[in-house]
Parts: sequence; structure tokens; C-alpha cells
Amino acid sequence: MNRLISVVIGVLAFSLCAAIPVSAQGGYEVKGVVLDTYGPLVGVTVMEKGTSTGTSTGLDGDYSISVSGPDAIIELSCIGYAAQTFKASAVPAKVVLTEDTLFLEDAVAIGYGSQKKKEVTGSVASVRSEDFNSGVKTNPIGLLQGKVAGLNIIKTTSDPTSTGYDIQIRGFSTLDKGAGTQPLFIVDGVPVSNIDNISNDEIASMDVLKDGSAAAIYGTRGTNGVIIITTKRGGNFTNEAQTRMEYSGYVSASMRNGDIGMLSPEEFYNIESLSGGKIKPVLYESKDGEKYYTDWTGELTRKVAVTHSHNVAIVGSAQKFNYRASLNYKNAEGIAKNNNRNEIIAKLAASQKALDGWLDLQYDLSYMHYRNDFSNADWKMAAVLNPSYPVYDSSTASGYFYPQGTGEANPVELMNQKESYKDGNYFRGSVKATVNIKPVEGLKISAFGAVEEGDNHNFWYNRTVNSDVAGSGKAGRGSDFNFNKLFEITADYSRSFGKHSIASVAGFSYQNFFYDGQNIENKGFPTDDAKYFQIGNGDATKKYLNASSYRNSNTLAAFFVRANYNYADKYLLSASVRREGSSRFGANNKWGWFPAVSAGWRIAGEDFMQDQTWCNDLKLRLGFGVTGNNLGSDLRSVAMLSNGGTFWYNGQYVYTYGVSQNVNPDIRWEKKYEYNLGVDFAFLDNRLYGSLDMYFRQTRDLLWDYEVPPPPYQYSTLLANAGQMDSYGVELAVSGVPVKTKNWTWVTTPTISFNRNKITRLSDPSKGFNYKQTTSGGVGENGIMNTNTQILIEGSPVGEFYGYLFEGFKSDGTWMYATPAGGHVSSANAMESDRQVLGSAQPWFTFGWNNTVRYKNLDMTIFFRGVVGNKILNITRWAYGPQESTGANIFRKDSIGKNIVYSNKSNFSSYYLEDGSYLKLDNITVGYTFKFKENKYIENLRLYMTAQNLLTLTGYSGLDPEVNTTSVWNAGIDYSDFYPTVATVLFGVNISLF
Amino acid sequence: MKKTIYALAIALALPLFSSCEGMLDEKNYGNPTIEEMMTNPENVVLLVGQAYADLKWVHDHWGYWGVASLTSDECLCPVRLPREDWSDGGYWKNLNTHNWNSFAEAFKNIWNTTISGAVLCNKLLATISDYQASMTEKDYKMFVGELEVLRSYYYYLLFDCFGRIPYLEEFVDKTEELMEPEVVWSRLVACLERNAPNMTAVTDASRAASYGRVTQGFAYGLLARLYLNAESFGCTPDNIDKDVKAQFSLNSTADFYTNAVRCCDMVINSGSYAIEDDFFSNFKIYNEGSKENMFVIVENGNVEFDLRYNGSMSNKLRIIALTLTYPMKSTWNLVELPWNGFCARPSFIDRYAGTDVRGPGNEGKGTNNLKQWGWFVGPVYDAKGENILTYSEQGDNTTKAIITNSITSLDGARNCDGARLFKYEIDKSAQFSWAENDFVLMRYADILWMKEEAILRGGKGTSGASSADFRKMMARSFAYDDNSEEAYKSAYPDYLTLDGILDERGREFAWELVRRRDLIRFGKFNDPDYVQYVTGRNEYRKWFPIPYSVLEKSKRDENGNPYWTQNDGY
Repeated sequence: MNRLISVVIGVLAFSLCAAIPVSAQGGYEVKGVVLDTYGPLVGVTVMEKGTSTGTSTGLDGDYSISVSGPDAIIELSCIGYAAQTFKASAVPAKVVLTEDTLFLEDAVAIGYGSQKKKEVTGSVASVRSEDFNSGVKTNPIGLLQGKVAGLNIIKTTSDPTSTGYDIQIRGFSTLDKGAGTQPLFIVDGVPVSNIDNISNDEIASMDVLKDGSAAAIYGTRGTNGVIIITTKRGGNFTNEAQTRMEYSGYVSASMRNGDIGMLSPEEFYNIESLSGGKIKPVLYESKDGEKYYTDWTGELTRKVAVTHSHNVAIVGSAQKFNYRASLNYKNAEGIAKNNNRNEIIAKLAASQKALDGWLDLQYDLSYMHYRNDFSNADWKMAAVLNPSYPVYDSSTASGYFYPQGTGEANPVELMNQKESYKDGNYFRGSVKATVNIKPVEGLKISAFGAVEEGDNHNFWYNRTVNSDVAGSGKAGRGSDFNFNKLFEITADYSRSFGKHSIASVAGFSYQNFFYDGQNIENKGFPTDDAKYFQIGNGDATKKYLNASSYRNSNTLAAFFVRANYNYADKYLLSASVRREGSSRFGANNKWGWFPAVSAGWRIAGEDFMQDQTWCNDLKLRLGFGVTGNNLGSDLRSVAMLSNGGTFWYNGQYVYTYGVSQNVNPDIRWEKKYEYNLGVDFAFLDNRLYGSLDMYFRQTRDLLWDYEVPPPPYQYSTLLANAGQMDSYGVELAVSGVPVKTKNWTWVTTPTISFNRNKITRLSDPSKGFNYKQTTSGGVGENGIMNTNTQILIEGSPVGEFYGYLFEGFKSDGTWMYATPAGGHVSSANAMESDRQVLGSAQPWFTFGWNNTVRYKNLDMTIFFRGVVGNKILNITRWAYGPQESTGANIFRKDSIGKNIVYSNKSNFSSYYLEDGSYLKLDNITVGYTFKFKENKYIENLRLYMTAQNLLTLTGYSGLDPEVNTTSVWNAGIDYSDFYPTVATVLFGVNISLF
Repeated sequence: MKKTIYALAIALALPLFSSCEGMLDEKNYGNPTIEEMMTNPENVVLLVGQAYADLKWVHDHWGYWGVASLTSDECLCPVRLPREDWSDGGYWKNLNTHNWNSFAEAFKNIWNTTISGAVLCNKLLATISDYQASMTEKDYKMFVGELEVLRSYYYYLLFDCFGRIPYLEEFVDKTEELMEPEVVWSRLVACLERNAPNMTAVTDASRAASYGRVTQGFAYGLLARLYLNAESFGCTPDNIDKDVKAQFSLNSTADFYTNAVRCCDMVINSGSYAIEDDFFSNFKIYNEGSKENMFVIVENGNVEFDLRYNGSMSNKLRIIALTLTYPMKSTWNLVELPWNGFCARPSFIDRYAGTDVRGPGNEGKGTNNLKQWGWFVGPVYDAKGENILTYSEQGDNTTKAIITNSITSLDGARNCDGARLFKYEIDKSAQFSWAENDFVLMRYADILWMKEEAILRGGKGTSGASSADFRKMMARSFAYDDNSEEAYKSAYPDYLTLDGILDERGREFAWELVRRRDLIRFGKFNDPDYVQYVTGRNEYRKWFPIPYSVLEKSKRDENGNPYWTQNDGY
């Protein structure tokens, strides 16, 4: 590393010494007005090209700028409009900018640089802040839900402390054993694993690199796709110092809006008549004969959960310096009592030009503090606990009622007798220094350094008086710390020669990750006040004092180069290669090559298209790229002695050490080979535009914990590369503008994506792995003994349910199954071999549909999303359906009737599978924007209201059909653990002052 | 100009390339290397100690103990009403009724964990041999003997279950066909006979140091088991290894028993062990002091887990949690709710005479009984000892908690059906998952009984039935009567016949891992008169099936045919 740093310093020092100051020439005045079809345009950027000289238009669209001379090139640009350039001597007094719905000239982030949208040859979806989802989102990825075809984002809980989303780009490309499954996030150039610490209001755009040719520049971490997040920065450099203030905030209220379908307390009392006398409930009665009707889930929830968020930003600019400083505060209540998340984020972004155009500097700093309060609510218990039990019982030590049944506990007591929270801090800081080598036009050398620090601390305590004797009086605290360093050096060269232009970048990247943590717990404190504050004051014998700690680190290093070539905006070519090494892989296979190539043909730019009025843009793209997938854990390829516990030796206990895993020094990258064919189009005066992509991807050398025969192996699993997986799909994102008048606009944007997947090889007999199939989807619940409900078979897709095909009931209630051979068998006689594939947890397609209608300053957005054609395994129905022998539990409502069906605990059959298709009305937003043309202080003000998660159309009988479909091992399984779903109403305001 | 760029790029890249050496070495924080461990003589035992870790699986109900007990008459796990506890898709019932198949979880666990232990022994033997120069000759031989005998025990457990196993004495990748039982038997005998003489016999001075580790006495005890059961393993003088046959003069079946007597005598004459005055001292919370226990799984009640075995951690003696019934939590204010699973088959309890302390007792005082009995039958009182506790059997809270020696039905037993094992002392103030009682794997009493049985089966030797230890063993069974061997003899007059020995071994060694093999040796394993509820009466069930997952994933030859095949009948 030291050598790296010295090289950088050397380069910087050289460039500073060689800097020759060039004196600025000014004095040529240009004035004018900028308009669009409806009137004057405010805030249009007016720049002298190749300099930092610039200004922006005022309230009447007017500007005046002093440039270097009559031959200076002046560019007028504004987001949403096609930019125009003129010679200073030839600028018309009135310039009319035309709306550019396609943003063809806008920059799209592609990793280590950007491209104009029209030049992009990979499959990249770019979403700008004005198109983000409205509503309460636990982290920025929620802003994209349903917006990008092929990007599957799932949220399975409304718990505000659970900030993550399940994210998958283009279906499965790894088997999720050892290798990672999350896409790579690049935040302002820094690859990060956590994006919680970014305020949603501070994001300018998110670019999703979907295909291999686009993602290959990130090599080893590109397989699951790359999402580049660009945050807002200071404005354009201006001759006069300017300051602006922005505020955006909202307050929201959430209420429960779903039901897992269990009997109400009243129905439970009447279960005997409801079930035609078949089930006799166990009813609790207190000694004085009082009856109770306890809604356990209701006891754990708030009536209304309130969230509010405030974001203040100061944006400033001067001739050679600009900045954006922001502060964000958010407090989100969960619908569960005691459940809360609180966060505060401070951020500063600054850019500076120095040394007469030789040096550009960019600084980014952000800091976050958060606190999660956990509810400790056991929802599953609440859902199934006998409603005739009371909550409180004055005869117990804690005052709570203690249920006596096996595995039963009072969830209100658990919630209130326990306390746990977690807080932490994130810091990220980076500096980028770019040296413009002025004698060589278009050559830049940049050095980029970033650090990330994170620390999390969790605290928990169970009060001494507690029905859970084993856990009573226990307290614990733990901390973890991570520190990541990134260093990159890149050289950029871009230049145009007549109709040819090239843009190239080469560089080196080094990233080191460091983790460290410790945990401590104790029990038997003298008073309940000791809690986690006085952890040493527990039980004097120290029998319950437990302490542990760990430290890990890993490193990635890479060299990369990319060149983009453009001929006359018609023929586009891009090629890149990355060579990357990871410390995590076997000594024999640390390094890998990740090449990519893609080409584009802008048909719309051809001469023969110039006469076509119906076609505004048409581009064909073809790409191929290889991406890798890093190992998700350290020290998997080496023999390592680790502590194996205590051993009685010579009358005392001593620690032992053992080798804890089978060793495989050949572990290497999973590699994904992907082909992508795409079309970008815009027709009919930009009233119909979008992209169509088709792809085929193949992951080779899948990492997996193979079961291996002992002997010769000591352990029965070995992490190795062997399997192979194929997938293909189609994605379509279209926007249509059916209405566009002076006062009215209606933009409708449907997206749809299809993905099919197949495991082409699960094993490698030459290495001793003889797999044709393996089971997954493990379920172990109330009376269901560890049953695998899914299967992975060579030649079949991931996520297939596997069990008995339910046929019907005999008159005596016997469960009948159809056998694969066409026969019939009763539940009691069913053999393992009678099982078959019962359907897929993977949807046929997923879709999103956004509609924006504008009338003057009033706007309305309605957004739907959904999936079609998948199966969900409803565990609650299986585990908490009625059983023949008991009336002790509460049951699901839909299984109680005249023809009561007893749940069959021993066999998994298609009876418990349901159609998982759904259509969700994700949000409706209505907003009004005030434009203050005459006001000296207020630039604009927008008020809006959003209703979120109002309606779900589905045949699924569980709480929410939005279940995890992205995990290889339990996709589509709706476990009986849950968190109540909510509907939310939100009022927001955005205001901009100057 | 392009040259400038290339030159710059190369100038930048070159030092970077050369600085990459070592950058990607993986850092390991805080764990020692094998070199560090082996070159310090003090540390060798820390490595060797790990070889005992997989023994923790032996007493697990999902491991060897589970199948060995549940398939014999000493143990039963019915489905319990009202919540169908222990239904688990018929898993336990299939073991109880002898209808298991090759998918049963326990078979896989036994296979993986015993082999894990054996392969680790081989690996450590190879390591020790590499570092032989850094230790004394005496230490080297001691560790080699210990590891080879421990490995033999792992293989013995695997062999006892499956018969055909991959027996290896080296740490190599050598996959071939599974060895037939007589081949495995011969190798085990050869290995144990080779090592036993070199091992140290336990003395009072060395007892603490060797506690929980394999010793000479254990090696001979294991040999005695192998000889006594040779016929039940399918060995004949004609099919065993010729060298073993010649070396130990195994010319007729009687010679197997003569050798069993010889090995028992090696233990008896060593003077290392003695019969405890009190039967229950072998099973106390702190049973380290027992001179009768020859080999145990050591439990440390002060830590949540002892040895980390095969990726798992929770590894304490679970018998107590498994057998107690729910209401007993209130009786003794137990920290954890018991699991109310395992009990005895009624026929097994019926073989105890009334006042035999190892049996269920006869005073009917239930939990108010101050004396310890081997099994529990009777009422479960509240904490004050005044009222019998009640619980919900079906919609009411009025069923009295009275443990009975009867089973309503395998598919729907009542909460309190079946006698519960009480010989392991219950630590009422601790969590079951922290049980301190060391689990007995071999006991001196077993040696005494094996010797008598071997003589009855034709082995040459002098009966020890009149020895002081033998008489004490009989007498203590009636400690609450008058503690006399006469009481024993009048209760069990045919104790020195083969049938009498089978019954006595059941009474003496209940849930101590010997019953299944005893029943097979006596030809009673599939006999429903002996093992109640058995319906799968197939001769092939005396071996368990090779686990399905093992066969599925085993290596194959170039034609794709597996090297390993299933046992007959499955």
C-alpha cells in the first residue's frame, strides 16, 4: 500500500509543478431570454463550454453572461429539455428549448464514468429523483420498487427497524451457498454494502446496471447486478455566489390493514357449534368465573403509528466552489408497541476547481446515527394463543398471566419484560482529486480515496421476574465495528476526431474490509436497575458470564480498462476488462478475468431514417460480459485451527483446538456469462418510448457446500465450485403519453419482466459430487417435523415445490394423493416415491404500472405493481389448521366449517399451496406545486399527500402475498412468523427558498 | 500523444503490479497454527483432546443413543396428547415398531459423526507422526495408543449399527467397497489387541488424569464386547481374518468366549476398578468419583457447551429433559419445561422385582418419595407435596398427573403414560441444557456380567460370581430391603442362566447403550414378546440401513456405479 500512496503523491506533485497558469479573458457580453412552449424558463444553465464561466436564467427566463470572446461556445441546458449550443456571436435573443422526454443527452452512470443516454450500449436503467416512489421507505432501494423491469424488490415487513429489502436483478444467478446474493451498491463512487445511511431526499439518481456487459467493469461483484447511487451536489459554478435552501418533510400515520385469518375470540368460544361439534375448545376460566376475550395481536400493536421526516439542505455555489450541506432527521414508529427507529444523517458534498483548471477536487462526507428499539413481540405466539386466557393475573409475581401449555407464553409479558435496542453510527468520507493534463486534450488522472466506518451496539435485558425462568435476569451487550478503505487511481482519456470519438478509462482499485466485534452477557444481577449498564455485577460465581469476540478482514484488488467508441452517433462500441483478486479464494485461484464487450447501432441516426417523422429514436444494443461473485465469508479455503471447547484433562478443563472444516484450496469465483440484446425506441413525437431487453445468462462454477462422503473427508460438507445455472428473460419498459396539452399531461409507464431459470448441472462426478437433486425449503413448525418442501433438480428451475399432489378427501376424511404414475394413495400409505413437483415459487411475470396525470400545477400519481403465476406455501394454514386431537390452539378461520378438514401435519401436499398472484395499489400521490414568480424568497412550494399500500387484490388467504421469492432455499414460503401489515397516509411538503 | 498515454499507464501500473504480492494473503486473527500446537509438548493434548468431541453425539436422542435405546425394549417414545408432541411425522414410532428406513435422520447423524471422530483420529495420528521429533518417545506412544483405541470406539459404534462400513486406519482418500462385518471385526480386534498392552492401566493416582479418556481397561472392555458379540456380528472362525484367527487361536466359536473371558480378566485383575456401594453414585450430578465407571462422556455444568462437535454446540446429557413430564416443572420449580418424551416399554419395567432400587419402587409416594429409585412411577405432587398436580388432557384441567407403567397407544399416549428413568440425578436448580452428570459409556459391572455370560456360552475361565465385587453388585440392588445378596437371589433365582443374565443386564444397564446388542445376541431383538409393539419383524433389521444420503453422495467408479451399496433387505 505504501508504494501505491507514494505513486499517487508523485503524480499529484508532478502535475502541480507543471501547472502553467492561463489568464482568463473576459468581456464579451451575451444577453437573452430562454423559453419553452409555455413561457419563460427559470433556472436554465448557461455555460461557456470548456470553462467554469456560467450563470442561470432568472424569473423571466433572462440571463446575461460575460464570456471570453465572440467565438466562445455557449451551452443552454436544463433538466428535461434538450440542450442547445451556439457561438457567442450568434446566440438568438429568444431561445426556445424543447422538452426532451428521453433525456438522450443526460449522463447515465456506468461505473468509473458516465455516458450520454443515447450512447449507452449495455442494459442500464436510470431512474431520476422525480420518478422515485413516494411514501415511507426504510432505505433508498424502496424508491425503485416496481420501477425497473427485471429489478425485483420485495419488502416482507413493515417493521421500521428492519431496513433492508430483498433485491434481485434478473432472477437467480447463484445458489446462495457461500456466494453473495445482494447487488453491489456504488454510492458516489464507493462500493458499499449498506445504503441505510443515505437520506432518500438527497439522491439525485439511481442507475441499475443489469446485464453482464454493463456490470463487468465491477468484475467480481457484478453478478447480482450493480446499482449506482448518485447523491445531490452543489449547483453549477456561477459567477456570483448563490445560496439556496431546500426543505422537504412529511408526517405519516399507519394503521393495520391485514389479517392472518385466525379465529376471533368470539368465534373461538363458539368453535363447537361452528365445527358441528367436532372441536371442543379448551376455555380458560378464572377462579371467580370471569371470561376473557383477548385479542393478543391487538394487545401488541398501536392503533396508529406515526412517522415524520425532515430534510434541510443548503446549496451554494460560486465561481470555483460549490457545496451542498444537508441534515436529515427521521423518526418512525412501528405498528408494534415499543418498536421505533430514529435516525439522523448529516452530509456534505463539495466541489472545487483549482490551479487554473488543472485540478478538480471533490469531497464527500456523511455521518449517520441511528437507534432501533425492538418490540420483542412474538407475533406467532399472539396469533395462535388461546384467546380465553387473560393478559394479567394478579396471583403471579410479575402480574401477567402465565399460560401453562407446552411452548406457550404470554406475548404481552414477553414484550414488556424484555427490553432491547441497537444503536450505531456510520461515517463515510471521500476525496477525489482529478488532474486535467491540459497539454493533452481530454486526458485526466484521478486519485480517489474513501473510508467507511461503522459501529453498532446492541443492548438487551430480561427482567428478573419472568415466566421464562431460563432467560430471566439476563442482560447482554455487544458491539461490532467495521472499517473499510478504498483506494483507486484512474486515467481517463476522451477525445473526438471528426465523427469519431472515444472515451476510455484505465485504473487500479484496492479495497480492504475490516470487521471486529465483541459480545458479553451475564445473569443474576442484584437489582433490575443493573441491566446492561453494570454487566460485571451479575451472579457472583461468574457461571453465567459469557464473553466472545472476533476479528476478520478481507481484501479485493483489481486492474481495469474500458474503451467506448462512437462513430457519428450511429455506431457504438464498448469493451472492458477487469482482472480482480480476492483474499477469500484458494491459493490456487485468487485472481480472475472479467471481460465484456457491447455494441450499439443507432438506427435513428442513419441517413435513411432522417425523413421518417414517426421515429424519434431507435437503437439496437448487443452485449456480452463476464461477471463474478465473491465468496460471502472469510477463511473458507484454508486449514484453520479453531477453539473446539473445553476438555477434561488432568483434573481440570482445558481448551482444545481442532480443524473446523474440510479444506479446499481450489475455491474460485463463480462466473456468470451473459448475453443481452436490447432495443431503445421513441416514436410518434416522443409520445411512445421505452426499452426492450432480452438476455441469456449462465453461471458456472457455482459455489456450494457439497455433501461429501466421510471418509475420506472428516466433515460431510465441502465448499466447492461445480454446478451451473442458466436463465433467460425478457424485460419491457414502455412510456406512453396519451394526453399532452397545455394544461393536461398523462404519462403512463408499464414495466413487465419475465424470467426463466434452470439448474443445468448440480454436481461434478469427477470431483466426487453425485447430485442429481437436493431438497430445500425446510419447514419445522408446530408439529411439523423438519420437512423439505422444495427440490433442486438438474434440468429444472430453482424454487419448485415438491411433495404430494392433493386430490381430495374420502368421505371419512382420509387425505388422498395422486401418484406420479397416475394412481391414488391415501396419506397414511404414501411413500417417498409418490411425491412430485407441485408448482413453482417463481412468478410467471412481475410488473409495475405508473400513471402520472398533471393539470396545470396539480399532479397525481397512481402506482400499481404485482406478480402473476407463482405459488405460495401457507405455513400458517398447515401448522395452525385444526388437529384431530386437540382444541387447545386457536385456528384459522377458513378451516372451520361443517366439513372440517384436519390439518395433516406429517405430509406436505399441494393442499397447502395457494396462488400467489397479486395486484397492489402501491401508492396514490396527489400534489400541488405553487410557483412564485414574483416572490423574492420562495422559489417554489409543493404540498402533497400519499396513500400507501391501500389495496391488494389477491386470492392468497395469508397476511400478505408479497413473500420472499429471491432466496434459493425458501422462496415462496410464507412462514408463520410475521409482522402486521399497515396502510399509510402521508402529508408532505417540499419548499425551496433563496 | 498516444505514446504518452501508454507510457503513463505503464508507469502507473508497473509499481502497482509488483506491490500486489502478498496483498491478498488471508489474515487469520487469533487462531494458532498446527506448528505452534505440535512443537510445544504442553499443547499436543489440546489438539488430541478435540478427538473426543464427536463422542458428544453418542448420547443424543438424534444420534446413537436414540436408535440404540428406542429400538430395544428399554425405551419408548409415543405420540403424546393433546398436542401430538413427538409425532414428528412418525419418526419415533418407526423406531419403536422397527419400521425405519434409510432416510431416518439419526442414521445420517451416526454415520457422519462417528466417521468425523475416526477421521480426525487418523488425521491427528498423521500429524503426530509428522512432529514425532518434537516429543518424547513415551508421549508419542501414549498419544498413538490413545488415538487408535478412541478411533476403534468410533468405528465400533458405526459397526454396531451398520455392519458394513469403510474402516480406515490412515488419513487417505481411499474409497472402495464397504467392508463386510467379519473384516471390520477382525481389524478392530487386531487394532485393540495391538494397542491395549501398551496403554497404561488406571491407578488411584492416575484416575483423575485419565478421566473421560480411553485407557487400557476400556480397550480390554471393548475387546470383550467384540469377542462376546462376535457371533451376533456374523463372525465365525472360518470367515475372520487368518492372522487374527492364528494369533488369538480362534479355532471354534467357544474360543471367542474364552477370549472374552481373558479380556474381562485383564480388567478385573488390573485392580483399577471396583463396584460402588451405592448403585446411584455412578449417575450423580458429580459422578467423577465413581471407581466403577470405566469410560464416560464428561460434561461441564459451568459452560453452555463443552467440546464443539461437528459444527454444533448444544451437547449436554439430555436424558433428564427427555424423560421428565411437564407437571414436574411445578413440583421442583425447574428452570426449564421438561420435554416429556421418552419412557420405558411396560414389559421392561415388569422385569424388576418390587424392591429392586433400580426399578420403579413400590411405595406409591411419587415425587414425595425421598428415596431414589431407578425409574419413576406414581403421582406428581405440587411444590408443597400436598396435592397431586392436574393438567389438561382434553378440554379440562382436571386430569391428575400420575405416571403409570402403561401406554394408552403409540399414536395417542396420555401425558403421564410410561415409566420415567430417574437413575441420573436431577439438578433441579440448573437448566437441563447445562446438565453436569457425566454419561456412562462403560461400567465395571458390565465387565463382571460379560465374563459370567462368556463362561456360560462355553468360554474357558473361572466364574467370578462369588467374588466380593459381584456379591456387592447383587446386594446393592436391594439396598432399601436389607442390602443382601440373598434378597437378590430370591428375587431373581435364575440369575446365573443365560436368560437370567439377559433380564439382569436390562435391569442393571437400562439406557446405557448395551440393550440393543444384547437383544440381538440373544435373538430377541425382533421378538414382540420381548420388545413390545414391534411389527417390523425382519431378520435384516438387526443392522440399520446405510443412510440414504451417504449412498447417494458416495463416490462412484468411472461407469457411474457407486462403490457403496445398501445393506440387504433395505
